[in-house]
Amino acid sequence: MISRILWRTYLAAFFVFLLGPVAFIALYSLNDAVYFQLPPPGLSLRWYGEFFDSRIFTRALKNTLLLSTTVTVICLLFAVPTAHLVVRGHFRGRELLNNLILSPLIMPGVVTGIAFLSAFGVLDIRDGFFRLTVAMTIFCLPFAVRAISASYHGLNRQAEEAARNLGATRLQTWCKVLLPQLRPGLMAGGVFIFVETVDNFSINVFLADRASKTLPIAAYEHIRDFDDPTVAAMATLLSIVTIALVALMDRLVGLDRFIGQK
Amino acid sequence: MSDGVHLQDIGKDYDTVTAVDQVALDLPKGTLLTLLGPSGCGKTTVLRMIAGFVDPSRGKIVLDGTDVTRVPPEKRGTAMVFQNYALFPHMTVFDNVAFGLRLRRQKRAAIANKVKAALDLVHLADFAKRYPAELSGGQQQRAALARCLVIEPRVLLLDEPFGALDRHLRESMQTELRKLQQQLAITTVLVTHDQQEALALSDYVAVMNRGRVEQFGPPREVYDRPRSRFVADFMGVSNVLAGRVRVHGEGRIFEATGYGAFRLSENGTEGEGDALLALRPDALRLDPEGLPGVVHFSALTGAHYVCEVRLDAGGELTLNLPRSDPRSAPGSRINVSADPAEAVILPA
Amino acid sequence: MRISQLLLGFPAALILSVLFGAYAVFFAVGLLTAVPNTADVAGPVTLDNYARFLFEPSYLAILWRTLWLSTLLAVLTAVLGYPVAYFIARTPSSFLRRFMLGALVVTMLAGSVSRAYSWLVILGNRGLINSFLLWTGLTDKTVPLVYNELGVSIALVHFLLPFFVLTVFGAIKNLPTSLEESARNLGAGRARVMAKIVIPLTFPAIAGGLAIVFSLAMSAFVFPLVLGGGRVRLLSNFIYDQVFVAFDRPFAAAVSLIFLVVALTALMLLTLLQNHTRRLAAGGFGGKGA
Repeated sequence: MISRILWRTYLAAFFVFLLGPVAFIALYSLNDAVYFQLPPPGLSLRWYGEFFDSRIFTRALKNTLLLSTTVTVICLLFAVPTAHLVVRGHFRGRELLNNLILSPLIMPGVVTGIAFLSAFGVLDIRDGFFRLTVAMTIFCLPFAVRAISASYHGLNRQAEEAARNLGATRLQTWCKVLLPQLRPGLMAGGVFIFVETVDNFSINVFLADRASKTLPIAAYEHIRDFDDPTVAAMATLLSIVTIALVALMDRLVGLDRFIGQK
Repeated sequence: MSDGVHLQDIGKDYDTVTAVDQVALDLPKGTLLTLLGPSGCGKTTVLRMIAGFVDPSRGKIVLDGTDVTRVPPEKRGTAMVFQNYALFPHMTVFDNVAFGLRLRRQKRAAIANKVKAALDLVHLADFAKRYPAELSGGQQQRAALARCLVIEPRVLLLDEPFGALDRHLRESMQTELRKLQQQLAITTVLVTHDQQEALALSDYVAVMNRGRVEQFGPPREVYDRPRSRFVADFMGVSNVLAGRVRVHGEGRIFEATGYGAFRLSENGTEGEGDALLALRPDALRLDPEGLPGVVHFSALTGAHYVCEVRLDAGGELTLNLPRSDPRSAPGSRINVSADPAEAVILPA
Repeated sequence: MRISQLLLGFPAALILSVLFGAYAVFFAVGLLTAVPNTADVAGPVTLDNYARFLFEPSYLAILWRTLWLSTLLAVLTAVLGYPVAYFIARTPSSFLRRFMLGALVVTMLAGSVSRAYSWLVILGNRGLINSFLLWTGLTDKTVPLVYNELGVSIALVHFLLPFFVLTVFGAIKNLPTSLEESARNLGAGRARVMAKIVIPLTFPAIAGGLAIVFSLAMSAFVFPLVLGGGRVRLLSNFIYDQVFVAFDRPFAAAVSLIFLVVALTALMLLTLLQNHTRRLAAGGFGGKGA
């Protein structure tokens, strides 16, 4: 009986700890004061106003959305043939290829960031947006390949043989039988890439120039220089977008199915 | 070359392992052939070679007079019902069945008519709009069958199609399939490990073992006259006795070590010498003149009891006794002899 | 087939050549020397940068501190997270399962700068916790929770937990409940079932989860940057400082390579452990799949 109560208390404490920061920052963003005060002096939306009035933040928002969308599209286009090769290819070194593709996952972000910085320096590539796009596409490819590979592994190969048997060529089979079944993987991969690109700091901070700063960089510079809840408003907005994307994924793919596949 | 399926000495090697070897079969158009054998005997590989999913290492495959050995699967005109049906999970039953017709660029109206006819044939007309996940096992199988029949294939291929169904459903689906196959006169190759299924459905049976065909012929012939110990075992002969054939007076007898002598039929051709005697349970009968023994175990299987008898000479036999016969009870003393017409001599 | 594979391989080849090209340039830079007061580098080729790091105790201390803290946090995360993963995998309530998985995924995807900021306000000297403590009178001085390792650790455990729980959750879910039921049936109590059945059979996933959270902790950058306030020196931040404060890119490159070698060695050890335990776990199923 006592162990049961302890167990439930632990679970409750765990999820309070887990969700605490996101919940707290949402409340804090509605706080009317400049500093944190207990109890809060009043509620207002003034920090959201500050966020959207700020040239720096609106520009960063635009940059972030443009970058994330571009990277998501390019990355998925690159990931589909790569996943196919990794799962279905017949050649020596397939396992090696898989590991190489996944290697950015274990490289410390700072190291990857400085590596790109050095390489772009040598090649004299100065356009911030281009640098971010290249780096994020490479960094995010493993997520996409993993999600799509998981979908590939779940496929019933007999369905493809059935299609060939009924008269479909390889290409027709791929388009009509395989691709529609990869949708969950594409969607999950897409959400991951998008969110990862919106969120990335440790690589992008090395590569962005003044004109291509993304939200996390702008937020960090703001925290460093000012002490007010504008960043709380930004964090809350991003959380809402993330929750919406996760809910959408749950509706379309089923969250536990997607996680169970890992 | 005539119509039907012709396999000319096909074989398949995987690295150093020979999965299939020297398989030569000729199947007339409109008949049903069963490839029968234990798992790993190569029967599914043969089926997949006919479909074009496995390239034979040797030999030729001829369908309706055309050599298709190097033709890709989609151009062979075969249609296969897979073990787990392999319905496309993202398409309705209608779209699954229409898949092959759409690839053949048929007119929309023609497709709708043919799909409807095929679904009627398999009693699935009311399920056209459902997805595979919403069907029962038997319905999924019928949908898979309709998907094959609708393209009017040269050969219908069935890979253990009844394996996933429970027994009751399996039997009714078997009957349904056989009736459809005869009604449409469609050349069919079926793979199974179930000898009952092979006997019930086939025009021809090929018993396979270790990549080779051990015996090929009509089901009755394979059942009545197995040509090897393997075939006898696989066709459910439970008594295989070692011993020798001897001339005895006018006829011949088989002397089995630990059993005694069994009379053989007059028209047998086997010479004297070491051999095996195969006796299925229903070849044995009670006979006051027969070999004495005691029933030590019996089990009811429906119409009759299967009884194990320990003979006084030491050997054991399995035979069937009618349900009503009190001598089926364990402990009964009985005398057993074999019907010479059903006793089969096999090479030792 | 050959040609189609080559075509399919084109994107992968492009990506990999850019990635490893970048790394090659970077490590080549590590053999050069910074030109003082500029962002430029120059020859001659030398190993001085490596020697500088490896023979300077205060630099090496940063490396050990990073390794030690990552190990500690990875283990702590595993201990805190495993029971929760077990609960989510086994709860009969699909509502609770979905809620908890949702909470973990949302937390995992919530922005790192946002979260670091949130922790800064919660743990700060005038933040939520200290205000609360002062208001209730539990303390009369602020308790230092940020700009030290404690604050960085709290935020990092929070960051690592979803990764671990979600990794282990799948393995527990795939473990047939009949194994636990039969152990209970044979007379084992809950704790014993956990210790003798569930944990041993999911050990490969635990090792995998540890590997993931360990490497994430090793490369942590944002949390020490925001919550460490320059006082918590971990390797990522040290490298960052070499680039943006000291403008010594060659030295940063050399330290990065050392960092990478250490991190990969540690991961390799964890992978060996994972493979070893996988064989053991497979043996538990009568050798199936071994």
